[in-house]
Amino acid sequence: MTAYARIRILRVGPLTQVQDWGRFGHQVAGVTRGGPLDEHAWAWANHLLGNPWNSVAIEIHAAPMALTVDQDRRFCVCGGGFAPWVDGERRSPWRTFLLRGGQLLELRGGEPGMRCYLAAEGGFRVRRLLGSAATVSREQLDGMQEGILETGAEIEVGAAGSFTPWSRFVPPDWVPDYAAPVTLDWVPCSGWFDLPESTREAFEAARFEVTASMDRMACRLRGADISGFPNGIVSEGIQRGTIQMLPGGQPMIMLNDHPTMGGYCKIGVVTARSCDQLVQCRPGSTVDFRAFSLVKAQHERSAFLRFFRGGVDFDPLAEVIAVND
Amino acid sequence: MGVIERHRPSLSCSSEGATALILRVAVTCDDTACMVLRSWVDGVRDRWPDSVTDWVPSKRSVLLQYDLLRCNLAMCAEEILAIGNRVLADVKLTSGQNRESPAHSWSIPVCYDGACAIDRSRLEDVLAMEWEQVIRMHLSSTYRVVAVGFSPGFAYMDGLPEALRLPRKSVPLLRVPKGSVAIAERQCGIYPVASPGGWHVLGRTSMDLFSPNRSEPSLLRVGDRVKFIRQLGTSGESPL
Repeated sequence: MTAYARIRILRVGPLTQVQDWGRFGHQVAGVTRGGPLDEHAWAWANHLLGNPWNSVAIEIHAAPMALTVDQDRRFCVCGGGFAPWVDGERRSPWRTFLLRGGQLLELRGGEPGMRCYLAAEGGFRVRRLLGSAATVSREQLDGMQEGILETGAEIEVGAAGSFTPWSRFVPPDWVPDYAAPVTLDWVPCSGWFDLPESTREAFEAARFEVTASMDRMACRLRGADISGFPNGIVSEGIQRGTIQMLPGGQPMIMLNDHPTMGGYCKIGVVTARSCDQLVQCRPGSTVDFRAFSLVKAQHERSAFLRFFRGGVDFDPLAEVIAVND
Repeated sequence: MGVIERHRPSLSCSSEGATALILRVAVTCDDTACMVLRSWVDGVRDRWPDSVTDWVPSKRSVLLQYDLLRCNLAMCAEEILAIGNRVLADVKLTSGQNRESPAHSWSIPVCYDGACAIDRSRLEDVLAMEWEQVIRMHLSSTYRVVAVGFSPGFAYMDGLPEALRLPRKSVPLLRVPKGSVAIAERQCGIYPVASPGGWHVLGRTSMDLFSPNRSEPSLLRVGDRVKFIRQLGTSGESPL
């Protein structure tokens, strides 16, 4: 099995799109990073299949999807909202499965969580723009719209490794429970320490509700009004996880397609792992915040990157073996 | 020199989350701030070329994102500040002299006629000016890029003449054509790609402000100067 395979999309909802890790090095020109909203689920989907870090997977948000492949290939679905069904039979998410040439793969909804990732052994081969296959629909660059999938689209799948009959799966302890309440770990930044003490205390004690205003750019939370936040600051660079406080004390957590700059009061940054959890929250769920030290946040982030990316020189096979042991 | 030492503006470098630093410079002069930040970031990128993954300059700061596994820049703040102070000393030493500025000056041709000037009648009404007068005022200024963002290559430029200042539209246009030159509040901007937008469009340029195929995709960088020149006739559209 060295040849490329090809999937054909029979049915697809809006906003279904291809994502690699993201587009880096161009924020100076106003180009945002994109990449998977839930990095954790995206990384597991590729990792189980032995795909190199930064392989392209399909992000599915809103509606069910159906596709076929022209030759046998292993696939994997990780994340929330959907589970894979092969010829009408449900398969587990967070586990690889074989799709034979001509079989029908459907992603059906009704699972906890909001979005999932479909990865294929060998990775999806799509056009890269500015060094990345990440789709950022609002940027409207020539070629970017190809990343939003439409019915009838065909995508090439890279060459697969040697065949093994065994499935690989995420150890159950690692599979997130998307229905569980979420605590957002965050690291305060200088804007936080400029706030009056009463404002900080009110924020720390508050609980918030995830609103329906969540897209790939940002997620708005709603809670009791908290006073003491400045109306705005001189616009500054922001990143995935930046907490911007609207003047009434409502937090806005910036996500992957964030504008490169923002002018609301910045109080800190939600950790990457907590962003992964946030994007799986349904509107109306409750979240609270827990301040994290920089040490803890860096420790968590480097552990994630080492595990999935394998440090600076990435060796996917060595990683997969280590996981199964 | 003693004066410079006593009044040395302060630089700071602090963490924003696990993988970013914010570099700030406290000076009153926009030009100096811009020049210091630009050279400071270049210095940091030269020192850790593999680790710095993104940098976003704004008026008084740069957000610098880094690859935690290549180099944890949070532990290098002292060295980063030293790089900044060296830059600052250079800028101070050469101030007033004919130093080479890293900023470019651009002349950008603009067509103010016909369909290019989408908001002509609204601008004439609100500003209570003849169109020729609006054009003359817009051409009279030299603009400075203070930020690039919003959409790929979109440059926010200061320097809009007082008489042309007006608030953003209350209802944004769903599709502002590529190359549109527009104004709002105290600033002027150019839409490098077609996008929604709430600024008032007074003309259009045929210059390519953003091209993914260039080594530097965005034509304009923070600190660059821009003069507009009038292009009669067309930029893809014929005057009506």
